[in-house]
Amino acid sequence: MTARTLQLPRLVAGRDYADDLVHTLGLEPDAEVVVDGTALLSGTPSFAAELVQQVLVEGKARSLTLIGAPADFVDYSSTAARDLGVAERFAASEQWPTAV
Amino acid sequence: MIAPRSARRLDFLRARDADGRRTLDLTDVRWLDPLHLVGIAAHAHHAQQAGRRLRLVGLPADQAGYAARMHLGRIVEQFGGEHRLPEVAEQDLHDSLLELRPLRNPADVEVLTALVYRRVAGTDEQAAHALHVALAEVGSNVCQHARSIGFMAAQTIAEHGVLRFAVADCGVGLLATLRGLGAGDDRQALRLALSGQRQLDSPGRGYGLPRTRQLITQLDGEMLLASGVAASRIDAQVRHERRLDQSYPGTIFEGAVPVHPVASSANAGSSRIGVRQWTHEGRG
Repeated sequence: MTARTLQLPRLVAGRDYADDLVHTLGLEPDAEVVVDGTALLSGTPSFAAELVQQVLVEGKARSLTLIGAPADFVDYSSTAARDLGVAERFAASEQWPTAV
Repeated sequence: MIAPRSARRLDFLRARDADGRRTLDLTDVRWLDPLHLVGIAAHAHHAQQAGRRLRLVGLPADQAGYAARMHLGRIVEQFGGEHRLPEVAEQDLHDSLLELRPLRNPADVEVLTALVYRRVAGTDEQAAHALHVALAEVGSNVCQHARSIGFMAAQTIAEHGVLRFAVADCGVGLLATLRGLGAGDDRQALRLALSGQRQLDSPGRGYGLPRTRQLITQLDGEMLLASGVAASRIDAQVRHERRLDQSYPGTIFEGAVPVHPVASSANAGSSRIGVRQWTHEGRG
């Protein structure tokens, strides 16, 4: 099992851009993917849907955890995960987990 | 809530073909909106594809200056068309947010939507987000489905505290895209595109227009979408559907949201929509 972190820039839009970003991860099946959305200001529904599609459906990752993204973008992503039948492998958190 | 604009504004985009030319007579236009700018640009492109030249006539002088500043003349010429718009100083952009620009690929969409977001975010972050999502989603649809280039423009209407933004193409139209998903005519295609029902047949797809509609109406804005002979104007209270007398060649969209500028002198220097734009006194 591998772990991958994807940092989202301030603005994201379009399915092509999501494809390009996910491609840079070099995803392997069963990976745990963390998407850092703490810098994100605005993202589109189509970008969110393609991100979920490429990571969890096409990429067959074990999980996708979205951290620190704006509420709208979390909503877009969780809706796509539900519609794509991968909601159980999607999670969102407002901040990074604190070390114990 | 912003003052509603009728879908009848699309009537100004009726073209007439004669003697190898396609004429668009704008004599009756009293206020040129982004809807008109992108629609005229799409007509110029469509005319060229049909082996004709667009001839733009009749635009009142007070609107012609604005049209020129928004680069309409340059775009019409680019597609072989004719116009009598005045020559204006290129740097005079005080009433524009995004001059008329062609959308040729997804990279154009990313660059232009990021540009308008940055220009608005310092003034109203919610409006900036709605603008970014709407222009990116509709612009992406052009690149994915229209089989044609598109055009984008955005404008501040300072007197009314409104942002208007529009995208148009002269591509295959919504019906050609959605016929396989059950749309039987232009009106059904329009309804299907806006409803979100497409997600039932294509999971993970079809979010753009329904979410755009949701964002705009939540901000008490309005949107207009037309393709073929069908047009729909939507705000938080109502949806007006209209059958157009002349089929629109492709798809055209306009959104408008109210903008609430930050009442602080600190904002004046931080955004392209600064004090000068909010005191804009008209066109000419």
